[in-house]
Amino acid sequence: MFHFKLAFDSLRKNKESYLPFLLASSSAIALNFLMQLLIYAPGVKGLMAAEIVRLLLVLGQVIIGLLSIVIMIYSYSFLNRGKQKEFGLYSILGMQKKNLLKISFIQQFLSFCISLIIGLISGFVFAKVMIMLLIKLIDGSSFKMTLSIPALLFTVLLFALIFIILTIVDTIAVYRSNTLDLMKSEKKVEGQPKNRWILFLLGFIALTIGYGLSLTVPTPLKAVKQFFFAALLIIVATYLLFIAASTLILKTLQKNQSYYYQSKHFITVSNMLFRMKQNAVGLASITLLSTMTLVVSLTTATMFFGRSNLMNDLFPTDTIVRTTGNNLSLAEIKQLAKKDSVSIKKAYEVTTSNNETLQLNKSGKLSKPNTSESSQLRNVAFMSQENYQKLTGKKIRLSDQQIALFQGAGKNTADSNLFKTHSLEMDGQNYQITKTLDSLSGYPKGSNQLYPQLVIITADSAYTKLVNQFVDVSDLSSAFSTHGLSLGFAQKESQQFYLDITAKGARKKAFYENIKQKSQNPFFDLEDKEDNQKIANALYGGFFFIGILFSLSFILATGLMIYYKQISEGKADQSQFEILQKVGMSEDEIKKTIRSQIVWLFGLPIVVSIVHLGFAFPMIQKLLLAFAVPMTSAVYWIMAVTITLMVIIYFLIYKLTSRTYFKQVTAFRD
Amino acid sequence: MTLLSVNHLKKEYKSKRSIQKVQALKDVDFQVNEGEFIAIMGESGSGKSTLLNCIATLDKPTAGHILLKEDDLANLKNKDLAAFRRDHLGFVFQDFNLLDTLTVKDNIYLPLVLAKNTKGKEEKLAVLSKQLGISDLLDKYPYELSGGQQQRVAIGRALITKPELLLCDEPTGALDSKNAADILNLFDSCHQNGQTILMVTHSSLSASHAGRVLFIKDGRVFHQLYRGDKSEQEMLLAINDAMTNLLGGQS
Repeated sequence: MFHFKLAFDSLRKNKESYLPFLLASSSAIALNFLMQLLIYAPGVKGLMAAEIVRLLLVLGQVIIGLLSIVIMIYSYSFLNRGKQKEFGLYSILGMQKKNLLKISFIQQFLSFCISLIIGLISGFVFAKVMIMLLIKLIDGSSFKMTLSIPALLFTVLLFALIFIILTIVDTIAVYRSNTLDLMKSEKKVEGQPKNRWILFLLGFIALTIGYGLSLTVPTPLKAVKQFFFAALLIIVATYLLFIAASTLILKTLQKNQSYYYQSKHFITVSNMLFRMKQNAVGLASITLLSTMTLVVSLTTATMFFGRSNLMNDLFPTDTIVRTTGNNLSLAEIKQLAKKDSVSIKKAYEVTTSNNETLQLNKSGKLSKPNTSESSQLRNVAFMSQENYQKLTGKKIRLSDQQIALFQGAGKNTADSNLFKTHSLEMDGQNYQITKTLDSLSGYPKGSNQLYPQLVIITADSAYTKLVNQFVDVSDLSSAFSTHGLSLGFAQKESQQFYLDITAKGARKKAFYENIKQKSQNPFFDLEDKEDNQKIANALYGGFFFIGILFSLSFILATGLMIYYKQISEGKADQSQFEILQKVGMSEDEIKKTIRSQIVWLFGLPIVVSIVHLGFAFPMIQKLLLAFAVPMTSAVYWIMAVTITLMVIIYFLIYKLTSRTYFKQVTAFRD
Repeated sequence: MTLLSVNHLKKEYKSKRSIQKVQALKDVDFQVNEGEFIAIMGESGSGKSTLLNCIATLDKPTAGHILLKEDDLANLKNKDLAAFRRDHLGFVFQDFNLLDTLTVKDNIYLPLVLAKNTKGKEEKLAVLSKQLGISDLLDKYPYELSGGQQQRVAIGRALITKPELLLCDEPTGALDSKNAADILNLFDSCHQNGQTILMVTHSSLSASHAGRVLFIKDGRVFHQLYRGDKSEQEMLLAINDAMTNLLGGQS
């Protein structure tokens, strides 16, 4: 009972660092429990594309789990500092290490129980709310979630483990330290900050390369490859520059006598110089966390809100049928529709060559790819003049040396400019580009290919020649050729039917089945927009949901870091402002100085992270293209909203924590 | 001419947990003439620090008045207090109270910068640093200095504004005897240059440098001792006698 009382007392005395630790652990438990509940929810299993959603959730669980461990160890280290001092006192009063450990144990157990209760309850309630959000995001209707035992067990075990780790850390600390060490306060005299040119230079170079990579990344595929490298560079640069550049700038300011020796700058500049030395790493971490929040929420929100555009681009009509071998016709499909009483509102039929990856160099030469430079690769399909007329009903007259072009998905201005000034060289011959088409009726504007889509419309004679030259039979067809199936030119072409139909459910299914039966072709492919939409909803809705959860946990981590930074600084700054007051600084001046310091230390991370986001934007755009998400102007709105939300949340954290800081700094006046 | 006049000063504290008031100063009354070096002695809890805080405008008396020249400190508005401290008073503390984030030079400049009076600061610093023997420490940081050196810097900070009154709170309390003697000699030379000094201490040795010693007990001036033409040694003996009486009166 005595130990229990001491344990409780110590927690009460350290409540300024203990409460945030409780908050951190309860929220971590809540978030993890939430993820677990969702993973085990029967509702998720019943979803369309349940596997994708579950995979995303598990992925999210892993990351949030890791982040929880980091946050808890971080916030515990602050709690520990105060506790060690108290243990030092007990130790002087004659308490043995055994007893200290007992106290520590009780504390740990107490914290564990409290945060478990708060965390599990709030996690469950929060899960209910989040599920409503998830339903909305993935267009579900009802969703079942139960209090599943495995979820509960996993959460409890995970956090029991984390608390055991913390207890072990504690035990080691108590055993290794001697009494005097324990008593010594955390105050250590900091050396004078030095200019670090090499770090600055390295940071500057890393930043330039990182930003440069993002600004110049040519293709979505490159973006995927380079994203992590660029992110790594920018992370390193942020740390280095926060450490080195801040000192450099402040020292320069200090050398400028007429600026420095003004009462409003004097204390701020000299204080910041020391602050930055202690806090550069913390500030850089805060910057990176808020950058991550911005990037994650921007990316997932854009995916989510861009998904209907994406679907409309991929599916200009309700149904797309692709087949080879010319054994299905639009007339036959219409007949089947009649039989199944499905009415077809719109129908297009077109035959093009199979898509082939070709290389387009800067002088307008199209050839088989022999480069690793993915920026030059294009996804090319050929279409004969006759087929073009059949598809669009429009007349077109092309001579043997003339072509028309349609730039589909991934249309870029560099190509458009090239086509304006150059002719296209294929197979040793120049083709004059007579027309670039803005649209191709029925033909999808989007594709799930990584390279930009190019449709080349040629005269009929040139068509055969070019297809023979450039288009290979697909791997699938060559597999069949070994089984003795006859393969001819037909395998290099595919027929595509684009249909807008009015049918739902079973009738639609029957219709689709009948088309498949009719075609009798191994290369038959039928895609339904509605099914794909559901998958897209699940995928991008799931992404967005995870994005929201990530952002929440990142913001939580950011808030905690800022809070701990403030209280640890508040204690240090208190004596300083006390001196200043005695030497003749008025209360107003002190408040002003404190405020300008806080504004700098708060403003810097958020400003830098917005700059980071700005530079990362081109790369994010390309990255999204790699996920087939088209860029519309909506992305700018989403960015604006994301930044605004972030700034508001950040400001709230600022308000909350700076109050504690103020109270601490000005405590001497009581 | 009278520089500082303390008239029937009274200070009561209300402690947080009880209704009972603590009388730190009951009725303190004395005058300080311009150019005087005066020491105030007393046991811990005698009220000498409270007295200093009242003169320093860091604390407000419950009753009575403090006049610096002709100005009543009670008439100062809250927002003018800081400026008043800056312009008229200099402080030297037991634990130096230098800012670790500023160099020695900037620590000394601090009051000038706060007063927006940085013109000719280099000349002022040059004269002062030579006098204090810290000329070659100016670009160092306080944590790189010894206690004695830090106290010199603190004295420099107190004197750079040429204050009318230098207030010292146990200035040698954190120093060894050698450094303490150096600092006291420094006060002596300041005093000879015409600086008025008011020092609170419980060290007889420190007080023996003063021209007059006031003894405070239970919130009143109990006794005072003029140096006259006594040597430091004789003064020390006289102070010790007075202190023995002071303590004797207690038992």
